Amino acid sequence: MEPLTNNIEALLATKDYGELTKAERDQVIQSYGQQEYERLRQVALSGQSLADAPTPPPSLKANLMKAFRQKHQRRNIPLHTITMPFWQAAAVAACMVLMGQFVRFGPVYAQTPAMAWEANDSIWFKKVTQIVADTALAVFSADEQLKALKESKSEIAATTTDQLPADKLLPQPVSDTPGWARRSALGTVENAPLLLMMH
Amino acid sequence: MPDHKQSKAIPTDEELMQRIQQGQESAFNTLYDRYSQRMYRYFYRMLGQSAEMAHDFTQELFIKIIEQPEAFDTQRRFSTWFYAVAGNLIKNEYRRKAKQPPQAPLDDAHHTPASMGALPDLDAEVRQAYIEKAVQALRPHHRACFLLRYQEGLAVQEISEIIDCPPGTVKSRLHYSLKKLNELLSCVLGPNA
Repeated sequence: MEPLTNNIEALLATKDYGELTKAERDQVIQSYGQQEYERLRQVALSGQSLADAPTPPPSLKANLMKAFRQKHQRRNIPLHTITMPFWQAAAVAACMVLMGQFVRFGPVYAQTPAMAWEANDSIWFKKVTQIVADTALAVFSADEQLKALKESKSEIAATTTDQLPADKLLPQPVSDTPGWARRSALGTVENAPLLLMMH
Repeated sequence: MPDHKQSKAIPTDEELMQRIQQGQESAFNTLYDRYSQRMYRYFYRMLGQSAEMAHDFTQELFIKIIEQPEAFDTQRRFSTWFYAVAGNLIKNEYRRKAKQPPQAPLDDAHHTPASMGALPDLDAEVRQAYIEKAVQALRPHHRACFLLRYQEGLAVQEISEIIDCPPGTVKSRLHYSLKKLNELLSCVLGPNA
């Protein structure tokens, strides 16, 4: 048997002897002869017949798809698949409540009060109102008026926004002052709302 | 024009690998459907017709894609790379066993003497068993070339890239494979078979 030329090898893989063109037949007859070509063609076809079987079991695909999900989708953990003992869930909830309390009150009281007013009502209860810088609705500079106010506490209640020097009012940086903090700082001095901080 | 549209609709293996590298599950699913049977039967016949080993090796091969999809250079041809990785797994297995895979003698198949004449009305199942046994009787590198060329339908050039040999060597191995199988299957593959 002559070594396979590229052309005849390609013919063996694709064509029966009867399908060959005249030129191809001449080439085959010079190399092998019809009978030998047909036998080798049968061998090549026997190789092609091996392609039908076997097939992998379905479980293989299921395993691999599972492995792929585990590898590439670790971040998407469905919450309903998480199991946890009751005591752990309760402990987590308690920690979250405590953390919430700290966040709720921490920043406001941690700050040094900008000013504090003391006033006594008619039955001698002392009332203290503290205002910190974060909680002021408006800030203005009025040292002289403040001095006057300090000398006479009773005038505080009479102070309203109409009487304030509007040209000296500065815009309050609201971004740092959440609504709940502002409300918590609203106090009253002798039943009058105290809305401003002076400095 | 319709062919162009169709080729756009059906992603190539290389495009699928790009998507797998991005973690797209559907791309892996499609690639598995394309290649699982091919690789399974290739392992099956290269590893002594063991279904268990074919299962394990096919799984290991696809796990490599899952674990390190970036190991594939998307500028290369995927099928060539994939068969080359499969071939390396087989070589490692041969080395691990430190011996060639079992080569069952053809005469063992149904206890039929090889010198028996042509059997034109031979049952198809028995005939297939003969072919399987004959292919197992080939030396591993001849068998690899034969299976890649005739079972998988790959071109000689691609086979040469897979097994890292010159095309001339591939043709030579194919020649000897056909010659050997022609001898072994002379009783089965008669002119009227």
